[in-house]
Amino acid sequence: MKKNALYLLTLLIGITTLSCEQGPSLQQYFVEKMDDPSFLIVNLPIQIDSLFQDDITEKERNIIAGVGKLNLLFYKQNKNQPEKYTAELGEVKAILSAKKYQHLMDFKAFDNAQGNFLFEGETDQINEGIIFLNAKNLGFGVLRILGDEINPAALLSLSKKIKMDQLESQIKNSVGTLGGFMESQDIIQ
Amino acid sequence: MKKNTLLIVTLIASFWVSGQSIFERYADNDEVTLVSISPKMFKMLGQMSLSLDDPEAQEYLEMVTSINNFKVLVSSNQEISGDMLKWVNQQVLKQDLDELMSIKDKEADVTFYVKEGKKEDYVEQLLMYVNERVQSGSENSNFNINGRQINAVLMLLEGNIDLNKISKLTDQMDLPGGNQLRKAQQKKSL
Repeated sequence: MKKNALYLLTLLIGITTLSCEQGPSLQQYFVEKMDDPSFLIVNLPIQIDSLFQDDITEKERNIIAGVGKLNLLFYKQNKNQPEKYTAELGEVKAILSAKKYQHLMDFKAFDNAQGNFLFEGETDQINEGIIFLNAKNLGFGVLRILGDEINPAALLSLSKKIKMDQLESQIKNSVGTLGGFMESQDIIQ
Repeated sequence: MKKNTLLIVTLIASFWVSGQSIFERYADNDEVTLVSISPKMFKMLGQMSLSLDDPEAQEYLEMVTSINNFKVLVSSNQEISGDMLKWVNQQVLKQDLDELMSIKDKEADVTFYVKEGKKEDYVEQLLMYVNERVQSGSENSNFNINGRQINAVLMLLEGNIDLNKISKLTDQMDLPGGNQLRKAQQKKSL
């Protein structure tokens, strides 16, 4: 009887420690895949200062300064390696299922596509925002927005002061990298 | 002793399963389509609406932020559909929901449940369950998304919802059940 109770107790403790144990972080995953040719990883330090007009106040400058950088990881689906896709997808999903990530929006269309918007922090103090998208025939991508107590509502109210031409050129630069990656992969196949 | 342990495990397992909402249970299932907007998202939208000075967007956001939970689950699997119906019935008992209306036509059965709000025409919770009627003789479903046959739709809305406004929103989102919802809303205002 006592033995059994002890056994049960051990089991319970085991389960609790297991669920509390810290899994691999998204940061580690990004670093790990740096050298993997199936992945595209882009780090975008946003020069957000240059994006805005000069007439911003000190308070507004602080709001902008919260946004640190963007990290993008993209895995391109390769028909020859279905196992790898499944394994990598599983790994990312496991990382994103951590309790610290709160869900904003989720969608899923059978097994064709899936998307999740997640964040860490409070709704007006976001430390990390994550957009995860997966499409069966394309691959999957993770966008991380890293910062320090980002306030999306305040940022939105500042959006009018963005210099559109600057934003465009910055986006064009990063999209160019992505396009190049897709093409280079096609050549290899 | 073994029996006892088994009993405890079953008990814990059943608690865990029943405590989980149906939307979480099938969040990773490949035979469903799921849309879920969490209360946090609505909170954030609310904060954003304060910082906007565009009156048109303001009105839209105000309507959106009267909702604080939105979930849709579409199933292509008979078993899951059955589970959804079971969950709806449980929810009706547990939350003391009233049937707003039910429509039966030759294609589908649609039922709306509501939890009445404090004001007239306002509801705290709206639950819609659509079950496709399988026609004898034809194996093909009448509804499909991207070639997938769907046989049940479950929609949950929570918040302080004005029934008169909500059909406008569903119209814009082009959701299944929008038509029926409009009918339901008309009936309620009679």
